[in-house]
Amino acid sequence: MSLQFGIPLMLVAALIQATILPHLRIYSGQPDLVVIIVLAWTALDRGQEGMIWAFAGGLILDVFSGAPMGITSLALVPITFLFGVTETQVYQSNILLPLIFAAVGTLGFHLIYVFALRFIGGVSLVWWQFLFYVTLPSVFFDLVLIIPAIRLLTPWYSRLHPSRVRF
Amino acid sequence: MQQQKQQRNRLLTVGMLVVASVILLTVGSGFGETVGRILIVPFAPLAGLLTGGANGATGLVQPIEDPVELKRRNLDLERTVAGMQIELVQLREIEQDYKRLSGLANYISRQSGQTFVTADVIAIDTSSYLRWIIINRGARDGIAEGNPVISDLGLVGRVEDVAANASWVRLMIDPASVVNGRLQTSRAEGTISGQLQGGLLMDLIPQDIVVQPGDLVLTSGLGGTYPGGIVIGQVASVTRQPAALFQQADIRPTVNFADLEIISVITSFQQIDTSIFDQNLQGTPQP
Repeated sequence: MSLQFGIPLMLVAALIQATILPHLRIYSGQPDLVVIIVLAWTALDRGQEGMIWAFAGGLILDVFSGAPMGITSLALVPITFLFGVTETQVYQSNILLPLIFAAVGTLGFHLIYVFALRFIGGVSLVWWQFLFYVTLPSVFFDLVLIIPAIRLLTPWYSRLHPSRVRF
Repeated sequence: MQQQKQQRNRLLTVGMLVVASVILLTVGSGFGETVGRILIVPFAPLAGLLTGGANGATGLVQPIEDPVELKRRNLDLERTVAGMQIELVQLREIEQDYKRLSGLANYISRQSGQTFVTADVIAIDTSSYLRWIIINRGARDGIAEGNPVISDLGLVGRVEDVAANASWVRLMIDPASVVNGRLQTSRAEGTISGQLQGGLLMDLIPQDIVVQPGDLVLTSGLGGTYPGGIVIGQVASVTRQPAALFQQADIRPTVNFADLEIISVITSFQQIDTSIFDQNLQGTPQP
């Protein structure tokens, strides 16, 4: 993803996540738009761009959050790494696989995030409440949106990387 | 060979990015906060615009609730009605703002000797695990860390971080928020912490106190982090176990946190520095 495409996209996604999406919450969970875009881009890309945008997107998200700066990047970068590695080998064999990996990926992201929030951010947690009220509804949203996100980003991806193999 | 090289590069990238994240987190929270304060300056007006647009859009769809009803109307009248509806929506928005502002003005006029800064909510925390908001007033307007935040209905939270033109407010319902509260009828005190579901939990209420659903809860002023006497909420239910040292009460906040648009910051409130007591507790020799 080029800078002139990626930075505005991440900014707009973070702004939407901070202004409009909180009104769509189910229990306390909401769509993680930046996470969805990063995972969708990772699904399309064979290189390291997903990880770099995970880092940048995480930092932009943290500007609009009370969480310590860097915590979202810390949770998102390893997930995009694993997501990218798996994608290279198996994605093209089955359309359902990105969905499964998106579920595992967003769940993993949330678990690392909550873990970091507890032990780095010092936020006291009631684990089952966090899991039930936030994690599961958020994973549901992300799961529903990941395939449309991949579809929407595919033309952009093929325009930016015409030589690479398309998803 | 090529694949191995790619794999190595990938591992190197993930390693570098994770290390960068950890450095950001551990080098000192001050650095991350400074980065956030600088980055928020250009974003704050954009967030304000988006929030305003979202609120306007919500208002716009309200009166067009029954399209069947609209179809029955006369064609000539329909055009007039459509025009009037748009005007009505705008007037409703103004009315809502007026109600909120007059409520705030009434509250503020009752508080003699305190100064307030009124602000719009421009963003909500991007993390679903935290309950913070960002407002469009900052250090330029006299807001400082620790300032209490209120609405016309009661306590909202506290300013935790300040940029030039924006501030981060931790809401009272944030899981990490703790407020010292007092029951209005019995004068019993306790600590009130935020719950992820949006409610509040009052703990450390002595067992011999009779707590009734409906009792009003106010800030006690203990600890010096909030002024006393600000309305927090009402007791919804009480949990009392004979073997426990204290009883607990679920508190229903008077403020609707899902609908916050305009708030006031008490800028004249001076937070009391209690760190000296912490040092004494840790065995630091007293001067």
